[in-house]
Amino acid sequence: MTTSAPVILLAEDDPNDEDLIRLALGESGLHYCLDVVRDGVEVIDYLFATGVHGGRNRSRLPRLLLLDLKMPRMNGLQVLQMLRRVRVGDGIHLPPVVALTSSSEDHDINEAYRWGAHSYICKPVAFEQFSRCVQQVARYWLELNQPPQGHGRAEVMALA
Amino acid sequence: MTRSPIQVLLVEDNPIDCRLIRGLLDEHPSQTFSVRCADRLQTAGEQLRSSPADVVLLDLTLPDATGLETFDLVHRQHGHLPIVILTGVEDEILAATAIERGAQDYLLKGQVDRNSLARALRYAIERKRGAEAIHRLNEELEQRVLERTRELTASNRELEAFCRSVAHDLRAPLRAIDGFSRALEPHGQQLDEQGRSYLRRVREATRRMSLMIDAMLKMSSVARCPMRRQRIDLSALAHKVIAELESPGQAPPVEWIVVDGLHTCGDVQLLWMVLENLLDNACKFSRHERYPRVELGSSGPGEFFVRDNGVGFDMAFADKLFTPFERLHGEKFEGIGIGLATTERIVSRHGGRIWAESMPGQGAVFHFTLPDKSGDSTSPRG
Repeated sequence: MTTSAPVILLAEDDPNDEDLIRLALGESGLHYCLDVVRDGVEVIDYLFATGVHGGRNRSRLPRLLLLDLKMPRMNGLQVLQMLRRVRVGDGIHLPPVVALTSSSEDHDINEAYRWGAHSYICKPVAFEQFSRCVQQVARYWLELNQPPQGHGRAEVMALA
Repeated sequence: MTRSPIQVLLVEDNPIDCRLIRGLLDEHPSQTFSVRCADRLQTAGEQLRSSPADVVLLDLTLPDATGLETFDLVHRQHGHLPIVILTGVEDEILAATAIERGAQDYLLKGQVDRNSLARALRYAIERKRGAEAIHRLNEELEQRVLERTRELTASNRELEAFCRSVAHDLRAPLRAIDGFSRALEPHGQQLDEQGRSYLRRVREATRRMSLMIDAMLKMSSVARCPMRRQRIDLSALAHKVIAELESPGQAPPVEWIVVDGLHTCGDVQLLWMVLENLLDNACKFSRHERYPRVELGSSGPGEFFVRDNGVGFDMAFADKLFTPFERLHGEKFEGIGIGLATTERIVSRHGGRIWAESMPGQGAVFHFTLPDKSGDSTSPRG
């Protein structure tokens, strides 16, 4: 994998789901690099290169955030709320967020969109469907979608 | 025996009657009465506001009110007070009406003596006290019922939310089981045929469990979702459902009979599910017949049925039909046994009921009622 491969950031506390996503993406033939964080706090630290991700190269921003909703410490909806507050700031490009979760509750779906999720996907149980789902999402955001200019290189300011 | 004096407010405009009654009560040997007089309704109201009375003795013919209106005016203002009517008008119908509206007694002037009047007043006070106590207890009881209902509703809601959350959480390990079983498939050569068959069965079991979880969530949501009632052409809806159920090249083809002009009032999405479940079941259980036939009709106002000529069932198990995950036919017919439970919930949310009749090998009839209530919407079941 070269360094120029677009990064997918996966926020997922369940190592099983992480492996299944790796399996699915592995079969996709896409050119990508997968970074994994385990909870909402880590998502924020990763994106803003703070805390445990303090040493990270901030100019290397993910092209896609796959966000589980049910996570320890800070859940997915809280992450969305936090990013929403940052998004309004000038010149800060944050990756599109796809909620990828087991929940099909109306409340979770509506809240996720309300706080700015770009897409909401209920993880299918059957692996073939799950795999197809993950591949389609990744292909759409990595290949089909045209990100704004400078995205992925912009300097991200620390949280105000 | 000494009793505390009974405070009587005598509302009477005739001074002679006033004196007479006062005389009767003053002479009573064992009970002291303290009698105040008011010569009109307005004065009576003022007196009652300034100092309370134990009982009101009321004439119906006053300068500022006559007839039962007199009683109604006092009763409305002082509902807690026992009122005894004392009048010169002998009228049984008037008397009965007065009692019905809450008067404690209806006495005729000239027909009461010292003892009977005192007794009437005492009994009036006691009766009223009893009635008030019952009223108070009833109110308390109602309040308690309301509180309990609220508590139960809240805990039901909590339990339901918990079940839904568990149902969602169960999907994660299931996804892992299915996904990693699938990941094993390329290593299939290392397994013998039996091993590969086990792997297939693991995946088939996960698929079924996943269907069950989805169905459980669906069943729970039909009880919670907001309901929008509207006029529905049930026949037209049935034709649409059938169009979705029909798969081309299905053999043998099902003969569908839908009676035209069936109308009802209900939530179109929920009733779609009712028809879908019943028609699909009818179709499924008559599939092995040579000429499968499924019929939707009506047996009376607001009463409908779905009939098939399929395998039927033993009426001994009829009560199990609508229980979630109960299946009468085992593996021969596909399904997880939740369609009828869901259907039953929807029908009862519409205020109707559902029941079935059958004999093995004789087909089955599912009857359901949908009361034709008008109205735009109802809130979700609490």
